[in-house]
Amino acid sequence: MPTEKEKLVDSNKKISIGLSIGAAVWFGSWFLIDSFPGSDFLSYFIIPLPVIWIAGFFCYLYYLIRLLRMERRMKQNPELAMTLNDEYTQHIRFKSLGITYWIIIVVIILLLVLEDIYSLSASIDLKIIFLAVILTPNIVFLIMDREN
Amino acid sequence: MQNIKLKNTLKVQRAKKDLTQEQLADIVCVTRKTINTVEKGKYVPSTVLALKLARALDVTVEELFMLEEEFGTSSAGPAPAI
Repeated sequence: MPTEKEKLVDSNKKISIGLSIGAAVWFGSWFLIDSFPGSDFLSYFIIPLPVIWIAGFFCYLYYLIRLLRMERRMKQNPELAMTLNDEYTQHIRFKSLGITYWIIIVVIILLLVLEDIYSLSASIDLKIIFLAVILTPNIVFLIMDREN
Repeated sequence: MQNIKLKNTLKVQRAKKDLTQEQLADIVCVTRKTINTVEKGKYVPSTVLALKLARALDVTVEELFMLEEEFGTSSAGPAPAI
């Protein structure tokens, strides 16, 4: 039977995955709606994009509330909070930020290359970088946190 | 080229004390995953954690962690036989 600590570790992981999915859906659909208004390919989506956008927002909000509730619970139990944020967790968090830095550099280089071919607007470039900055650290952390 | 690897006897010492990863993690205030990654040699613990682990298992740090020297091949050819 899992202990309270194991349950919290699992809950923490679920919150991270939920926030990543919520952010990807929310910002991704917003990016498509905002960057290609009235475009033909937007009509290919079975569910209308504004509905996906709202669903992503509520998914993000739900997991954000869970995160805040968990944070409050942690404040009441500092020892448990210290255990969950132990040195290995800090180590992989730091490493994931390092990897994120290189991924962002690659994204910027790719955008610079694509700029010559498709003449992307600065707004689209910024949105892609924003999406990458928001999602990459969390995704890299989750990948590194996997148990082999 | 000489590679130095950190080896540990954490799993053996833990078994001697009849402790699970979870129980040892509770004693030293870390997650079970941390103990698992240290045991597998994927993560090198800090001095503080190494001391805590040694204290929890009633052994010295040297009994728990040791350096293993390996001789790899270099571009100049294989390492000379001693």
